[in-house]
Amino acid sequence: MSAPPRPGTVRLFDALVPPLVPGRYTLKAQLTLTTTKGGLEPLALAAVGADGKAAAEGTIDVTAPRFRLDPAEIAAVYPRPDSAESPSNMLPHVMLRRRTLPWERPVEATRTCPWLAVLLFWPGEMELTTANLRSKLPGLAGASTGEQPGPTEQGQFATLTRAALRGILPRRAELPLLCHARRLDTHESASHHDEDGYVAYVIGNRLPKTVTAAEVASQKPQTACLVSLESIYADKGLWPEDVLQNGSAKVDLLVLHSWSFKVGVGGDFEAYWHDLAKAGGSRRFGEDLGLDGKPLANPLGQVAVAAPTAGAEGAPTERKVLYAGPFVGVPLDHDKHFVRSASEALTVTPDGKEVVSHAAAFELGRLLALSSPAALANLLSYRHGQLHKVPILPDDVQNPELVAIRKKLQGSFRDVLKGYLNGGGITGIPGFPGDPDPDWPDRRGADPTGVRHLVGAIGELTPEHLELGEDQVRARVVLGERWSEGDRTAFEASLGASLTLDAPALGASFDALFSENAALATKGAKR
Amino acid sequence: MSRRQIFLEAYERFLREWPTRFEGEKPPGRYMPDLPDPWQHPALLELLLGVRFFDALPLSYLVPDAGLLPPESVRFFYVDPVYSDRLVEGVLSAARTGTPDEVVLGWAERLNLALSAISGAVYTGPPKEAQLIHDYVVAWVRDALDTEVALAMSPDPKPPAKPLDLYAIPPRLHLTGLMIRSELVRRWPKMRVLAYSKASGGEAQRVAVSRPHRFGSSVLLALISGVPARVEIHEPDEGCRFGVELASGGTFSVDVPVDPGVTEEVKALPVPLRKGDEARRVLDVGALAASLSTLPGAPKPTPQPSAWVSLGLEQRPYAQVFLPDPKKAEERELAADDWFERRVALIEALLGGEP
Repeated sequence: MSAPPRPGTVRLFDALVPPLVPGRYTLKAQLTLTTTKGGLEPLALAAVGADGKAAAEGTIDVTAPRFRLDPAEIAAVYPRPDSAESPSNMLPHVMLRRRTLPWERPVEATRTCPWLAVLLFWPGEMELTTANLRSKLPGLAGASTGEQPGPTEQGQFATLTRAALRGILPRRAELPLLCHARRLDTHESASHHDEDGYVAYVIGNRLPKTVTAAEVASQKPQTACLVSLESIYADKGLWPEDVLQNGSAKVDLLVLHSWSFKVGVGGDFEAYWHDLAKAGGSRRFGEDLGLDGKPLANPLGQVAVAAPTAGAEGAPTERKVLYAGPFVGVPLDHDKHFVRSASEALTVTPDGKEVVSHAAAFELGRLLALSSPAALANLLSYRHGQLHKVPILPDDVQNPELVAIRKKLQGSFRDVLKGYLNGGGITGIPGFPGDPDPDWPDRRGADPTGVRHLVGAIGELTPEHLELGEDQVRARVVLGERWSEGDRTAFEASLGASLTLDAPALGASFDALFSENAALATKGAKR
Repeated sequence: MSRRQIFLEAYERFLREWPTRFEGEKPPGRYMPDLPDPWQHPALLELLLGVRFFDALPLSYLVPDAGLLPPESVRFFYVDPVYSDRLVEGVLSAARTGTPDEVVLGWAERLNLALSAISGAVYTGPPKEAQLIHDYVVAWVRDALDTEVALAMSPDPKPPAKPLDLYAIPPRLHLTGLMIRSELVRRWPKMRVLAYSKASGGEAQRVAVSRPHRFGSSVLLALISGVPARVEIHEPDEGCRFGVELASGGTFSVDVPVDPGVTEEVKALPVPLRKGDEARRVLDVGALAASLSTLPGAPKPTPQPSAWVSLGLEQRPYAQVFLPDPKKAEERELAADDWFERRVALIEALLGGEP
């Protein structure tokens, strides 16, 4: 066997005609053994015939499918069965795994004319029925195995008038043009689960019926059939090149495989692109015009969008802000800065218009994370892991200077807390300035201990806020973010002057805060 | 110099001076955040990549006005990298718990600051925009996600030749892309988008394209690495198909190779309907075979073999090719020469009129 075609290539054959036609054959074998160097007589390997020579004779049946096809013989069909929007410019076809199948039954002496054809029936053109094979196909030649149907054997038939069939049949001379064989490359062959890589194609000669957009939903399916031509090939008054006889009479056509499909409007992939070019076309994002003929977006891709907000007296007012999505018509560069809140990402044009694009992006990212408990739990776990990676001095430092620093650092949590409470900072470590930090004006006045988040409920923070079901991950986040300046003031008032902080316990709480299983909300509620 | 670079250089200096100042003492480790781990943090990583590929976003955020992507249209765009970064920063901000973060992270950062000061290194402190460890984490994740995105988009995904240098500053990714709003998306949901760095195309010139994402049934989004010079949208391969093209005036034709193996030239041959059976749309296959036999590459001596007819009728997957308008491309090149001035001009244009 020759090598398979190179990947991406295919080898074509006009016809692969098997050497034998189906039928009963007699096989005769004769064996003669002789010795050239004397010795023992050769063993008698076969019966001795009348002429005294060893011989064998048997009968074999060369078979080929005739009344039905094993479904495994069908490698593929086009259009896909039951497809709803097949292109109307494609011909139906069948790909057969058995490469010689279309030429296995002789319908004429040359044997290059196939006995199979794919016919396409538009809705209502034929009736597909199941009937007794013997009654529908009388007088078929052949007496060997499989050549005659059983007395009760059923088959599928397409029944239509001779005139209707004549209108869609190919000419006899066209039949060989509609069948060919191919040897596929190994990749394509494997995709069709075909072992030897050889397949045969039978192509239809008729295009599907087109439908309009209004008819798409209500259209009836069209049926493609792989039919046997054995019973009609010799009919002299049926084929397109013949003079039609008995046009109104019914004819039964043996169907070996059939499938249905519906067509779509607009043609194939290419036709759709041509239509697209005439409709919306292709251009850069942001170049489209509005109904008033003016550009929808400014050169930076921003469009004016409504941003409802509450007015001074609570009445809703509407203002316009500028927003551009991530897709713009001009190249933009990265920003090395980053923001910690949406408000930091707000910008204003020189003429006072708010640009909310990046603020919206920040808030959108935040909301997406908040809406996914799994992502949020991962995020807390991840951050917790990152904090543990922050380098600290090793436990076994000996240098007195480092020991002193370590000691100081070990107590620094307590110092941080006390320092804050006293309004001072931490001293004694160079480069460790006191807090509040003048370099961090945005943090001045903030509660650096986070204690108010840990000690629990106060005035506005109702139990409902804390009891967010069992979704403790989200509860923690909501708790942290809900805290407003009003909360802080109320909380500080509720603390009074006698509060003593247990710093180690607080440190443990910090760990708990970043632990996935911490029950922070419960702690708060208990208080 | 980037914030990470400043931090790393100061830290390197600190570590260099450590042995002379604290002889025999083990220095503290270097701090470098990790990326979220696919095994430990799958949902987080999925979300981060989801926002970087924009498939996790509602369509209205991507196309703020439906008129920007009208029916039956394709639009090409640049991705605003700041928008991508803000999305990631937003995601990472969700776990910030307010002031507890500030004190824990600030404390840890101050530790670094203190150690650096002790070592006598000239440590100017982290840049203003990255004063907290959290900020380093955000900056690191944000930048490092570029690598993840690039790997996910790679047309030929394979591990890098050498391990990623965690301490190297990854080059930021510049993305472009296209959106299609069309029946095409619904009918051919598996269409492929290919992009090339040169207008001539070719496998060697292919650039990375993200796996197309569909919004609803009719909108498709694909991101492209860099600015492509050629984009092709391929019909999904549905195996072998045979058919005809609809030519002008309701007639049919087939594009056939004039001389296969010798030239790539194709010729449109008319395919008539069989006389008397036009309404039934029956092709005159015999007439097509006769036309095919006139081509130079037609096999001899049999002029109308079925294999040759099948080649004529075979419909290969269609590829819609987009090439830049030469005039516009020239304008763009000129603009790229002075990027800053172009931005200024754009802003001035913006100020000149209402959107």
